[in-house]
Amino acid sequence: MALTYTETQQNVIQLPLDSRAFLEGPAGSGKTSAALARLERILQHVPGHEVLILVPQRSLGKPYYDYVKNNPDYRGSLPSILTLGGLAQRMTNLFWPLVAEQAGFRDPVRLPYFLSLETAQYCMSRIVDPKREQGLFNSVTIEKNRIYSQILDNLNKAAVVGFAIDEIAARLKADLNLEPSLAPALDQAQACALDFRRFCFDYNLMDYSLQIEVFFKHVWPLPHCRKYFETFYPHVFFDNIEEDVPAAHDLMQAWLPECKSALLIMDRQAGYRTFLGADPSNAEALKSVCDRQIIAQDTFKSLTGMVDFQIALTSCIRHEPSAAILPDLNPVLTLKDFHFYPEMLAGVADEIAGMIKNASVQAGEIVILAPYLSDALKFSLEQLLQNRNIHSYSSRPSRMYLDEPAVKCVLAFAKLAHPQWEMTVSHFELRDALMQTLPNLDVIRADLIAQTLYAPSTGLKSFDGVTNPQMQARITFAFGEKLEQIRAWLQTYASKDALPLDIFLSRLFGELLSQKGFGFFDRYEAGAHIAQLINAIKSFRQFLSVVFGMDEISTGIEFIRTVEAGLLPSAFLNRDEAPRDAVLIAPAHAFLMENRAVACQFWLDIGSLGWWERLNQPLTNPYILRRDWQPGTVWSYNQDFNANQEHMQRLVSGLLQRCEKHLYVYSVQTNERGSEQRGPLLQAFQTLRKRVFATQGGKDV
Amino acid sequence: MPIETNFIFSANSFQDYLDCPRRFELKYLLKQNWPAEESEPVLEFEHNAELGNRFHRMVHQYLNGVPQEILLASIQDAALHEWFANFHAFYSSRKFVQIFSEFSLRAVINQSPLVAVCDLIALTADGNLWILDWKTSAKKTRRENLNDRIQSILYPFIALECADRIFPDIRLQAENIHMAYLFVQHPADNLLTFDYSPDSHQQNRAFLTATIGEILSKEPGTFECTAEARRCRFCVYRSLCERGITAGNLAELEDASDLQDTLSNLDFDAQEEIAF
Ligand code: SF4
Repeated sequence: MALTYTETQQNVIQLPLDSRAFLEGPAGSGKTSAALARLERILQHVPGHEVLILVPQRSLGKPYYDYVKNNPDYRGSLPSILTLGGLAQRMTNLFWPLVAEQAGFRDPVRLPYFLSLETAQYCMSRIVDPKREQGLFNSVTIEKNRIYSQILDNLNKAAVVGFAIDEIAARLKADLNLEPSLAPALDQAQACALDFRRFCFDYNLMDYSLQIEVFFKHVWPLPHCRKYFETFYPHVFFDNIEEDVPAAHDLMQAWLPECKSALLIMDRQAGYRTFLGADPSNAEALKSVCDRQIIAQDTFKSLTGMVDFQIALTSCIRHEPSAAILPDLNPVLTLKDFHFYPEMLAGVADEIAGMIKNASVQAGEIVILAPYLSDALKFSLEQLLQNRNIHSYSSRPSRMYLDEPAVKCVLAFAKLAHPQWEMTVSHFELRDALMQTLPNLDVIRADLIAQTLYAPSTGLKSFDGVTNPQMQARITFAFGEKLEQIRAWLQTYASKDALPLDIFLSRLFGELLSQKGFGFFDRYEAGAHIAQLINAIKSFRQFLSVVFGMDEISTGIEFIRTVEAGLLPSAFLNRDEAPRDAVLIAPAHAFLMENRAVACQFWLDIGSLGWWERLNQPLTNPYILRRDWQPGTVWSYNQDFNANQEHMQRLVSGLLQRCEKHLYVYSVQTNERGSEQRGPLLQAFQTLRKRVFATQGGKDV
Repeated sequence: MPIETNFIFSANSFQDYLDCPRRFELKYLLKQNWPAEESEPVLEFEHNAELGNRFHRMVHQYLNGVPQEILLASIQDAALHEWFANFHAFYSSRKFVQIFSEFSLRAVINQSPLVAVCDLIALTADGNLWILDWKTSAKKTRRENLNDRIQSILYPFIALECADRIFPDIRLQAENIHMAYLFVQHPADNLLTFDYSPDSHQQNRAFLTATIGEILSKEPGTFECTAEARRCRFCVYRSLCERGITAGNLAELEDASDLQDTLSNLDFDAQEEIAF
């Protein structure tokens, strides 16, 4: 079916091929659709490899990725769809030999190692932990992993905003809302940031901040890099520029005058990533390097009820008077209140099950949103939905796979096979592991085996050595035979040199546990969970051996130690495609970054302050670490309050613009932590309720 | 799960299908991660693959303008040094007017996308297009085995299908396309070249069309296991298919060159194919 375009969209599509245009408008005004049609036109005239599509976050590149992937006729070379970080890494990797020395790396002939969020945190722990042992950071009550991530965040902000990393503490001290006792911790965080930077130079490590710095200071000025841009990126699409950081805008400021064509796209009311350094006002300055400006106003989908609701709710958030007559909100809004958190979660699952059963909405058209998504919340919701035969997914990385019985099972066997680690396997651990390993083994028999054939000091004993025939019969010879196979496998392993943990687990899985007659034979899901674990261990092994020269065997123990300290490793599900018929469970911001509309949204626990205030981050502050921050000024309580208000209002508008049919808003009297919260979002809804009640003659929402 | 209409066929996925349809089903349709060992010794394989990666990266850097002497100064491994010297001797003997290193191309057959990730695409002044692939394996693959590899079919096919989109000012014919493999561990007699022709293009189109048609027409669960059971020694799914216990040893392949030459999953130089 041929798409029809509005006049504004047509203007964008038909722009001369050599134009640099700035397109702005609200969400849903068809900007990205116009950009895709423009891309199609460009690709008819230039080879794909000459097109750069720059987006602030991978998920925002999805429409472009889908366009190329699903275009049945497209042939030729392929456009690059990149984030600033991806671009910086690609270029730094390519031109590393030309810049490593001048950038200050101690061993410039060695390759750089690009740190992930997790490996960066691991390295930061090596800087911070010894200092904590000396008593530093004792005025900070947050858990240590959050200390690491906030120091890294400060470094990142310095790089993308463009200030020196030794200015961090001085800036942060301008926050009048901080406890005075925290001031020394800011100096300590500053010192750790500087130490971490030196550590990176010593070990050729590139965290995100250093990638950005090295790219801008050393790679971008190279003629080779310019030539690369001329060859590969003469045509630029830069979407959601308001969600990107000043460094990305700087790059485009520099490149746009030299490129052949550009289309920059800005969502007027967005800016949801300001806490990550996004700077909408800085983005706007890019107009100056464009030769034309187009404003998209038309909204495609008729969401009248939702628009009225959004206006009504916004006036409540702002404490402004409402319109004289409030519309009937029942068609678009359901408010429910629960006593306890689990009750609310069950209520969500029941409501969704009902909707799917009535075929009123498909699972893929539903999202469940919370301000933050803990592993526990995600897990509970997944279970509740699964019990109702509803598929769900979350794009958030998770440590939950470490709690999977299959994963615990193989780790228990790893400990059994390596007594030299001196990590005891409890009877319960062994019992659960055996139930995973031996099909149809019930808990009573598994317990009996663990009690009879196992002692932490001697390991797993032989079934054949059991002298009590009654005991053998209770365990059964069938299970006894399997136990002997396990023992024999472990003994053979023990008779040879130890293997790195990931290789040990692969072998254990392939040669024993996934063979016919054992528990993981054709258990796809268990296989996938163990694969996640093995991949995480393998990456960690390679990281430790390449960077720190650790021997491959010791990396396994280090992995377990690090996991137990709560640091590693999240499993990132490399999902390029969301599952088609599944409910998305996500933090509200993450959903906004998918930039897609759905039929129904569920907002959880709207009384939570998380909908309003930013996470408690005493060692960082996104508002002070901004480009437009004036040194010498202060960040007051009022500014903080207003920033929270503005943030919530943006968030709410962004979500409602992406809700096509119905919003379910759930509150709870006693939250996850057992306390009562009546945050500003709940208050806004209560005001709305009163207003509706008043104007509609007693009719409630 | 039936195959998606926009499934992207690549050299790896085709070769997996040709090696074993069941492996194709498990890997690409069911997307089943099965964490068993593929071959032994794992660390040796990792080391070889890492060296292969480093070589490809160095060549990519060189082709993007990083001077040879700077690259040579950064090599600490004698083998890499030698490989790079062999590569350089070959490359400097050629006169290319336009090159694209680590370059992805996409073509379409009956609405099914095909993708190729080429180590180098290079155009000569007389209008010949070379698709070059760097091989870091110690043994030179036999010509007849390489000829049968899907890469030798797919890459020239895609290159010709895309040629007008990459080089709009030149009219490339099948005769102008050359697919070549450079075995960089070898200082001499290290290039295997396959010339292309309109006939090869037609044959390749027919072969690819038929293979895609065959794959698309298969019902889930009907992808059969390979009849050549020795392949299973080098496949992660062997327990799932009840095709053995232990992984094959790389040393075994020394005596089975026909197998070694065609095992797509054990190619140190296999490019990671991008998601398009
Ligand atoms: S084990 Fe053998 S039959 Fe099974 S997928 Fe692998 S190659 Fe095919």
